[in-house]
Amino acid sequence: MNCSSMRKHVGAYVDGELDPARSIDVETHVVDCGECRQQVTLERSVKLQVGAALRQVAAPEELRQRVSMGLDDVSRSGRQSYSTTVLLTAAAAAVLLGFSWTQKAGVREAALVGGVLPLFGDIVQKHANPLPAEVQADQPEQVMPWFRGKVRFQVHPVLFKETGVRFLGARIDHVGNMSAATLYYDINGHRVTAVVFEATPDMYEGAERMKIGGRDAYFSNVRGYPVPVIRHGNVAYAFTGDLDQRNLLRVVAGAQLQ
Amino acid sequence: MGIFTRRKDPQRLEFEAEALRHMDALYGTALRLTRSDADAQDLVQETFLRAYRFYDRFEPGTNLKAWLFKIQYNAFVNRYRRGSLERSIMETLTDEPSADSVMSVATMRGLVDPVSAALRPLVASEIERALSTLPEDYRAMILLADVQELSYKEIADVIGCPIGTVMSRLHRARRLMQKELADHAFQDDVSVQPAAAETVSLADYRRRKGGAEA
Repeated sequence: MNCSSMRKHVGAYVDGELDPARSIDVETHVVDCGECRQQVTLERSVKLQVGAALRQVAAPEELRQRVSMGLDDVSRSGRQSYSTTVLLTAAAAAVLLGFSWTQKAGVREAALVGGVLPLFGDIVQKHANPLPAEVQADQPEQVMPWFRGKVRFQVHPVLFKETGVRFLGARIDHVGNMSAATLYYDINGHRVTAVVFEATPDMYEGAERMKIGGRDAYFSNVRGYPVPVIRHGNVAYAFTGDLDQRNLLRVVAGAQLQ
Repeated sequence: MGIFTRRKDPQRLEFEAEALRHMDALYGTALRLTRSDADAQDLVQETFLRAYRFYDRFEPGTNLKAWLFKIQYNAFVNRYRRGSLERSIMETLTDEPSADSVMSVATMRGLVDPVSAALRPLVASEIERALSTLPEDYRAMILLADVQELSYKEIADVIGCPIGTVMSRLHRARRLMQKELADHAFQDDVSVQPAAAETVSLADYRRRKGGAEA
């Protein structure tokens, strides 16, 4: 590969979009060519800095509420057309019966979707299909300033007392439509995810109440993942990981949260 | 307001859990495309309502974020571009030779510290400003590729163009962006420099890019 060919490929190379053979060509070329090497460094650095700088935007709360209300409207109009059909096709008695049944079923469904509590399912989802960390450091407390202004509450580091804990990174996240901070750890070779978020009491509905390390907590098991959630005022700390229930609860009980 | 209350159907729950988490990303992109908070909010609102209505058309297992961006981009084009005169921009810029070539060593110097030869940290406000000088099609490229980290294939799908077009547009967009930054970067003002810039791990970024492709 020569320098002019490098120019065409530097972007795709940095984006990880070049096929492996061409990537090797690029890497071989930059060993001997200082100018192209600097070009690669520049391309990469600008890309990362542009990404980091421009990702720091949070949607206004007003918009979240608007969207939520809009979704309500869509849901309602959907339901309305359904009941019109029912009215046309069934007797009034059947409608009444059906309606009261739906109302009752609705209460259960609000708490349980497919047997899983939404909050707890969401936490497992974040752990099982993790999104990439947006910020990394050796210790969680080093990334806390990064969250300032990005989430609406103060994020305190979650520190585990175990030996063999590695902090892998963190990202801004959401639980439902509330802002959250997700922290990734490796505890003796087991991945553990902690999610810190603003909580409302209804989120825990249906979960088992317990004390963990003397703190108010809720617990649910989602598809084999134990999910303890510790409540700290209006901020909650949810955990899950590739550990069995006993070990995860022990680790969480010893965690320092504030 | 309780977020897990009043929700009857599982589809709504799933949509809120899966789709609404991308609101910041959609809003940030809409804000840079429309350059107006009110327009950006309208666009995001429209995107989510449309996505919710057609949620059953979303193929599980594909990238939901890319799907939302596609809806948003279409809404943007329909709402803000249809029948407007701005189509001449692309033609003008594709002919501009300086946009096509890689930065010269002399230009690059503005971004590189002459003593340590290390790259200077860029100021977030300067990046924002540089982006705002780019024509819309190029701005979209930077936003989708560098900010949202979509793959070329996903970007092609969002914009509705071939992958080759993504590559050439992105190439030009970056050249313009770098030139703009090199000409105007105020590297000395470190007080507003983005804290995250140094902590982003490239190895991690590439690994996950590889993962997304697999």
